[in-house]
Amino acid sequence: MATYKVNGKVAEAPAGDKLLPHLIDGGTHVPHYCWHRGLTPAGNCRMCLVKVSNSRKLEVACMYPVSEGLEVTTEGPDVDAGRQAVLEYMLINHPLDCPVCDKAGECDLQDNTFKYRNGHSRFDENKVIRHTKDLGPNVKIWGNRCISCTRCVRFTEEITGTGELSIVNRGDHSVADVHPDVPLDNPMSLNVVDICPVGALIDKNFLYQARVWFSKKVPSVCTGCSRGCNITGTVLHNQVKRLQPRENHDVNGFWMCDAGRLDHEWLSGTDRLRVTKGDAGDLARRLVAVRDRNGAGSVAMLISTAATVEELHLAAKLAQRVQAEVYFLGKVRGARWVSPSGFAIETDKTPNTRGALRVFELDALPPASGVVDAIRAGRIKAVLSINGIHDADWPEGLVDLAPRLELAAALDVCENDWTKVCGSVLPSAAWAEKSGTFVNRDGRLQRIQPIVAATGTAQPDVVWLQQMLIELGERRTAISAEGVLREALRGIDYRQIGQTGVVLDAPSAPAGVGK
Amino acid sequence: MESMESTYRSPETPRGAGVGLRLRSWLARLSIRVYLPSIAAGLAKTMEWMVRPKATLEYPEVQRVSRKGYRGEHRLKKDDQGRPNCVACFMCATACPAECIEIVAMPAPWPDRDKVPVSFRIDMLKCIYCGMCEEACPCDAIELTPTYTRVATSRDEKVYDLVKLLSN
Amino acid sequence: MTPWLWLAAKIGFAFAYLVGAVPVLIMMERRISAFIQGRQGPNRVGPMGSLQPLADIIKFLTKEFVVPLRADRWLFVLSPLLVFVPPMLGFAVVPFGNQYGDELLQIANLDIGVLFSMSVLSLGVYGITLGGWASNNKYSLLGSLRASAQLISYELSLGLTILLAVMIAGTVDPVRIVQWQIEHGWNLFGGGSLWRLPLGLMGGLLMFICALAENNRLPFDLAECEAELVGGYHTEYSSMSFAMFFMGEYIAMVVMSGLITTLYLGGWHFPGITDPTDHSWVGALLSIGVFTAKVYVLLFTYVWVRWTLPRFKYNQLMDLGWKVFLPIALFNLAAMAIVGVILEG
Ligand code: SF4
Ligand code: SF4
Ligand code: SF4
Ligand code: SF4
Ligand code: FES
Repeated sequence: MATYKVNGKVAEAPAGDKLLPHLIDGGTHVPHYCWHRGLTPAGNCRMCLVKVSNSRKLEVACMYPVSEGLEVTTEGPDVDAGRQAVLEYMLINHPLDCPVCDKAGECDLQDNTFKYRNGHSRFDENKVIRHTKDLGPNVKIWGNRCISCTRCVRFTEEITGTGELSIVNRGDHSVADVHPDVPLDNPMSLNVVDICPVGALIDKNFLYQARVWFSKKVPSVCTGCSRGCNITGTVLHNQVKRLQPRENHDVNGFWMCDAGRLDHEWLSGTDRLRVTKGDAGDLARRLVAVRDRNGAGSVAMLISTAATVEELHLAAKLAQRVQAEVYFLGKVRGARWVSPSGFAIETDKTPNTRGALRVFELDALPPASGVVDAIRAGRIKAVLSINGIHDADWPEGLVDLAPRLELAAALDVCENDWTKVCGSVLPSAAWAEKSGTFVNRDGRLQRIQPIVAATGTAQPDVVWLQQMLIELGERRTAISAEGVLREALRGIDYRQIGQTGVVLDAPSAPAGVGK
Repeated sequence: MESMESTYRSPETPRGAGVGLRLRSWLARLSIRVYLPSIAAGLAKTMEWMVRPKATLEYPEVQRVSRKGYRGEHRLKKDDQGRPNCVACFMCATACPAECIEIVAMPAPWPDRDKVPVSFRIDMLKCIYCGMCEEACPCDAIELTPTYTRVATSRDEKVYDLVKLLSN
Repeated sequence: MTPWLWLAAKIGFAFAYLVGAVPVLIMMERRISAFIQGRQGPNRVGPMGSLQPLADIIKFLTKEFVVPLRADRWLFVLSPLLVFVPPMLGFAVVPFGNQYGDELLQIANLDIGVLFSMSVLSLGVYGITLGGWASNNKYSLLGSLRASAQLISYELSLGLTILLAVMIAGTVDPVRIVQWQIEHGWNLFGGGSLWRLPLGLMGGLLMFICALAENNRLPFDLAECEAELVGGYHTEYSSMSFAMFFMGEYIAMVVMSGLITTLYLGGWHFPGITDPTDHSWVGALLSIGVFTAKVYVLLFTYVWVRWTLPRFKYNQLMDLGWKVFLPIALFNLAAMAIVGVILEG
């Protein structure tokens, strides 16, 4: 440990560590572009200049090591002059693009220019024009805006290991680019958009969708796989416009995969269910009637592993009430993909398999195909499905067997073949429209919260299920999702979970129920 | 007449004034108390107004010519190829205190432009004609014209869209 | 022609003359107020807006006549008539022209005509008082109380100024008063004597001011006062009954102007225009014209004053009536008596 001083205040850090992270952690503002906590420092943008007692010139904090007795000054006329000069140099060829640049509003270059510069340029010559082109299926580059910080290049080298990007050309013509015939199409490619400190790399799906200062950002958890990456949703006019990773070193680091990031477009799709067919109380009574006619075990519940812990808990209670057999609905599995840096995309594409195991106290989940066999065998006379995703892995033959059932009912988010044959359909709120918790593959309990409001008569399943339970005499009044969680997990509440989650039990990943 | 004194203050006679001044000051006080001179003055003033040219214009036959800088209805300017100058940057919508500008942007179909509005709506009934939008626009694309006489028969008509704003 | 037919014709003429003055006055009031305020005023209905009063009348006629629930129905309906009729009666003794043949252009040639007109004109206050009372609304009642108190106060000074004209002319017969003025000069200017000039001027001015108060015109329209009384004695009146009050007020103005003209402004005569000995129909028409011109000059002044001066406070109004006008009028009268004795003695 070395003791050093920041603006006169004593601080401590391991000798030899780079200064910048410690300065930032200590609450000192140091503008920077090329340094990113998740990448190796490169020290090429020169924005993080600070004055240090060991050197007569200004030094870049991201590369300068901490040493015993070092005195660091991060503000004052000298430092400001240095930063101003660096900025002026960067702006020489930077276009006046802010009005059409999607980064505007969250752009480091814009913020620092506003802070350090006077809006005047001494450069009268013509600016260098660089390419604007697609780099891959999701990413487009506006080369003019690139400040050659190499964050994106280092990302593809260090994190994904795919190395599609590099800086091409020299001098003020240098710009990030892909190699010919090697598009930027790795499974995490969109992270470069987040780390690009300027608006050079742009998410084509988000292009011109929103001015960020009008939008609202809400933290949540991705439902794309059982890892449960922490995310932030950007919302405008009650529509999810984009999802971005949120830092959580126990789950996803700084990153998330492209598939999860784009898993919001269906939320405002035309096939979303918006009107109620039937009624929750009535449905509950009819389920009981089927049970009474055909005996225990004649009702099946097909529950998605994308349901929250709260929903699963209520579903379990309902299953007990109507003496139902429970089967689980998953999603088609993907291949596990692990980046060289250790970021993993899981095979189980639903977020809460582990939560289902825990709530139903099972060692393995009975797969949905079981219900088809049971109907064929004539055991099952009623099926109630509880599903919260648009692309569940519905068992083959279920729809065709519907005529054999006395009762087919669904709590679902989107219209599909199964909801079409159901007599009662209660529209559910999708993950971005409700509160709840998931247990990820490592046993970490994490929380989602409403990012947008549900449309039509859609309600969170927590509401529908409680209405059914109230009808059956289970409880007197409905309670909030948090109340249900407290009931389910005895005492854990949302405050304890916080924004990064809590570990419930030892990590040993369950397999999931998808094909 | 006592009550008058509280309402109308008589001119004071200066201390140590001569006879002439005293007389004049007494006369001045008298004239106020007698009302008649001030009433006559008032009648003269109203008579003057009666024969003066009128301030009211015979609208709509006669229409006021707006002064320079008058802030009336908006218009979106076009470039020499007839495309809107607007780059859909939302600066106007951001600056607008009435929050009456609604823009939807899209990538431009032309190679030399990045972003254009696909829809641009101003609710003229919400607009307070402050001109902030004009002030904020980085592309000199929006402008308040001197036009002030636009009537409509429904609220929807007063929500101007891109076509309307471009043709204004 | 028989005397009866003559009488009927003259009554018909007077009626038309008075009622016809109302739209003209409405128009005058609106346009002059507009001009004073730098506006155009109503100018869309008919040429120069001349049909605007017609539109007003249609509006009044088509509106609903509302009698308040607790109002005294009878009096409520009656009181607009009470406002409307007395001024008309007052006009009976006003000579509105010279003479056609043997027939005086005056409805009733009473030798106490001036006294008659004074007595009927003050009846108008009943309509106002009863209207306010019958409305069963405290604001209306306050308005009508104010009106009656004001009328009584100013009636005194008005009477004294009328008496002044009578003393100058030495007769209470309006026709003879006019005759006297034709021979000696307008009473306003003291009837030709320099001694009487200040008295005549004072009397004429006082009479006009008191007439403003008698007619509830600004600056003495305390009976209607939006700020304190919602409307005034006519708050509860609507449609035609309101219009009756309105018309009554205007007709009273015309009659009062006619009276002032007769008493102070030389009546129907104007030197060089009318010839008192010309009893042909031309002379008669000319004399009516001169009379009308004088009346309308006065009416114009009414309107002009209204849009110039603000309303008095009630205490100021009373102070002015009792402490200023009454003493001045009394002094005037006394001075006149002395001057009369000096001149004749
Ligand atoms: S990158 Fe930043 S500074 Fe450059 S145009 Fe975009 S918003 Fe503006
Ligand atoms: S594209 Fe962005 S992240 Fe990549 S080098 Fe340029 S500025 Fe840096
Ligand atoms: S004039 Fe003002 S209120 Fe109207 S659109 Fe422009 S900024 Fe908004
Ligand atoms: S500020 Fe100008 S360029 Fe930007 S959206 Fe408004 S009108 Fe268009
Ligand atoms: S952040 Fe230190 S040089 Fe770029």
